[in-house]
Amino acid sequence: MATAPPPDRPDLYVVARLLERLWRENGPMLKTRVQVAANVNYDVFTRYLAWMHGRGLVSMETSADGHERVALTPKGYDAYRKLVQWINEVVRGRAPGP
Amino acid sequence: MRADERFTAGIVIAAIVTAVSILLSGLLFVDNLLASVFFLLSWVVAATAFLAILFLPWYSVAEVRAPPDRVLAYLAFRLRLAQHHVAQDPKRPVLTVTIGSTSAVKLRVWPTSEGSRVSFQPFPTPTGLGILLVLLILPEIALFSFPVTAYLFFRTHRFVSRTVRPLLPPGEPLPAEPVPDDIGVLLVTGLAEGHRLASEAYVLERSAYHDNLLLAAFAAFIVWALVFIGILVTSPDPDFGHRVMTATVLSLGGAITLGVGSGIIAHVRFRPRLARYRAWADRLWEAWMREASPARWTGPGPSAFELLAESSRELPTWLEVRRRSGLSRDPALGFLIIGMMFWAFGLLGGGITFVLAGNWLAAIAFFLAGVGLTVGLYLLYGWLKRRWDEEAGRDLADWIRRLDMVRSQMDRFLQDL
Repeated sequence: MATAPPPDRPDLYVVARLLERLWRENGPMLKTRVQVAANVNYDVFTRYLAWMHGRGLVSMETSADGHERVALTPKGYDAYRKLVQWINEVVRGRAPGP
Repeated sequence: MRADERFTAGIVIAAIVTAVSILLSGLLFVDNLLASVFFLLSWVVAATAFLAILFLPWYSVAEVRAPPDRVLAYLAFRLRLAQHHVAQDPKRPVLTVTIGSTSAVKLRVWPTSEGSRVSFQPFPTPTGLGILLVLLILPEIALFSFPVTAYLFFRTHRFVSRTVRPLLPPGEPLPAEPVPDDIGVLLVTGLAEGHRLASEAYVLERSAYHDNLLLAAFAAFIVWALVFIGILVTSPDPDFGHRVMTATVLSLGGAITLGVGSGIIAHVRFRPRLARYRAWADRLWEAWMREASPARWTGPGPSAFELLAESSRELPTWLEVRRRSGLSRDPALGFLIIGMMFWAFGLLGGGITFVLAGNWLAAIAFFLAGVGLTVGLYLLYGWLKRRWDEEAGRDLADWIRRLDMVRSQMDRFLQDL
């Protein structure tokens, strides 16, 4: 697991991009593929991954071939759903709910 | 034949019988020169009655064993998946589904003891209604509105039969669908709505661009006429042929310079905005289609969330286009105002004719009616413009409030995780 320091103020777009990619995969995903989807350099990626892992949004596992894989947790799914719900309500012209 | 088909057939027969009866009644006036206006008027009345009888009733679609709010959410989602623009009425259980540039359909869901009853009403879009109004305003071409009305009616019926009815199993529960706050449903809904707003902004802006080109052409025509007549009348040249030639060259030169110059200015002014709105509509359409067919997510693509977040920043611009569009936003009303302007000119022209004929009483009556209509039009347009500006101001303020609220909620949410 990456041990890089977490970002001071996480960028909403980067967090949402990572969550969305993992949501679309619907299962564990190779770290390198998630990084490509996030479109950030490796250093920033490991910081965000550590931050998300620390908050229980993603889980990490090492597969039999020795590659590290990332998966979305139920909390991560809920977090992404909430973000999409809010932005959706802005576009659709409704006051966002709690 | 099903009960709803019998009802539709009955309405169609009633519309045809009524229209034919009115048209035949109008024939009674055809030989009378004074009353011949009623003959032409019968075309307008028959065409209007035909339109009203076909478009006002609600036609049954299906009875479904599910509560109305679920049926509405289900229909909205499935129709958006089928790539249709769907607008939900915030106050009534009604969806407006756009079928094409001229026709739409309203779907109403009412509660019953067994669940819900879905019915529909044919509904012309503003463009479709505008076309119908142009045909109805001018009595000489009112008969052409019959095929247009019949086409719009047929199109909505075919859409409901082929697209809506198969979605609703009659007398049965709805098929299992993702819940409304499922991420996939939210993304499809948001992207479809974003595309609707972006494409509406593009269409309105394009319409404004075309209005500017028309205005440039009209100004060029006026310049040509004024310069041509002015030179022809004031030139001291005794040779008439030479005078005509000079007037033609100068008037055409002036008109072409003005027309082409104004056209180029309009093109330069509008092109960047048109390109931006088109690009946004295309991006949202592509993302909407990818989301509607998850199999198309074969490789890395733009993040749907990011696209929605970025498009929400563009919303004020799109709202501003709506504010500026004025009559283009409501072509039906626009055509009505233009029609009333024609009537006002006609009344004033009639007044001048009566003055020349020495019929002062009729002249005063026509002048009063013409001036009254002109003043009424001016007041009506002023009132409408104020209303549009207030509405756009409210929309913009609402949007800013919503976006601020969402941004602070998202930031707080990330911090609190």
